[in-house]
Amino acid sequence: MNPNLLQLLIFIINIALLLLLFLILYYLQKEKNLLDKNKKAPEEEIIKDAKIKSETIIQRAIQKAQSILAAAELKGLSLVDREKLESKKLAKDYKKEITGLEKELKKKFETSANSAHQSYEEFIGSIESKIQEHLTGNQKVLEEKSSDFIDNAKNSLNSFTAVMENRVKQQVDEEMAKTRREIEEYKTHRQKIMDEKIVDILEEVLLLTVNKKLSLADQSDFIYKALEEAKKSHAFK
Amino acid sequence: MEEKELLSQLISLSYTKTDITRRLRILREFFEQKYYSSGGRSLEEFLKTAKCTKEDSDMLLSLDSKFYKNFTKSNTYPCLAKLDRLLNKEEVIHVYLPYEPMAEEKEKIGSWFKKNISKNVILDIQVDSSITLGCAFAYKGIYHNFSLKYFMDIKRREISQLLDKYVQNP
Repeated sequence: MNPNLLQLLIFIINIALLLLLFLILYYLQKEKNLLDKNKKAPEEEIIKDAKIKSETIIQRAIQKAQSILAAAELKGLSLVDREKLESKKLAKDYKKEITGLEKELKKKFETSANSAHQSYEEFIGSIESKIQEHLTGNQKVLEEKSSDFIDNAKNSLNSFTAVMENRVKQQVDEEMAKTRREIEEYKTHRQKIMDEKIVDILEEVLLLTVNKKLSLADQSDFIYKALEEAKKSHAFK
Repeated sequence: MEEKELLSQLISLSYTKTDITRRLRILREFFEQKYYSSGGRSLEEFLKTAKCTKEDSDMLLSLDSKFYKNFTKSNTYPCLAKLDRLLNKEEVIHVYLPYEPMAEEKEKIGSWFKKNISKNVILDIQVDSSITLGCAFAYKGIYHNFSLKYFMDIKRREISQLLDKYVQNP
């Protein structure tokens, strides 16, 4: 039994005894007051008897209370001892049980730990092997894809280079042809200008060199030649 | 005789507008001294002392007497004025030459025009130094260039071929 409970019980018993005592004292006081009230001279014997009785009752009550108290104390103490013994025994049993349980739990825990460790190791091993498999597989796939990619890139680059080369060559050829055309056009244009201007140039050259050298007769002949030509070409129509 | 006929006679014996204008001036002077001064001389005497060329005097002397009878004291000025006006209305061929021709040359050119174009053609001979050999003229509002440039233009292709030949075989 719980020591606290035991103490509480003792305390309650003590309180109860105290209350009983007070009750007795109250009745006595009441009795006395009643006696005092009805204080008529001739009944002093009754009063004395009553006093004696009351004192006897009180004594008895006190003894009873004391005996109850002692019994309660004894019982309480025996209870406490019993409790102490029982609790000691309980504690011993509990300790024993706990130790046994501890050992058992330890054993079980060790077993579980070992099995968990083993399972964990197995799991780790399997994971490792799976990871390794995956890695190997991925590496293989990566290598294959890389080599495919490289091959594709190489082919694309080659074809792109070829296309660009052709395009550049084509453009260069076009530019060259265009430039040649422009040069030819320029040449033709210059030639045309030269052809148009050559007469003017020759005329000026002749003017510079011949005009002063020609006699008036020669010049006059030229005038008539010009007039004849004008007549022939119907300029006077 | 009408003024047109008179002018026609003058034109037929003259080549250039300048000559006709000059001769009309000489005629005016002649008629002025004949009709408006004392002691009018004959044409021959007048022409001997007048400021005119031999060609002018020859031409005026070659005119018929009927020509001179058309000019009286009263109508000389109006007649000459009308002749002047009619002259200005006549078609003129402006001839551009590279040099100033002598009188004989002008006569030759004028004769050519009268022989080949019309006997009533009037010329206006001017000098254009930009013309190299040959000549140019403006007739009926159209300018014709028959200078060296024209002849060279005709031979342009041959000239170009000649130049090409020299360029290819320097």
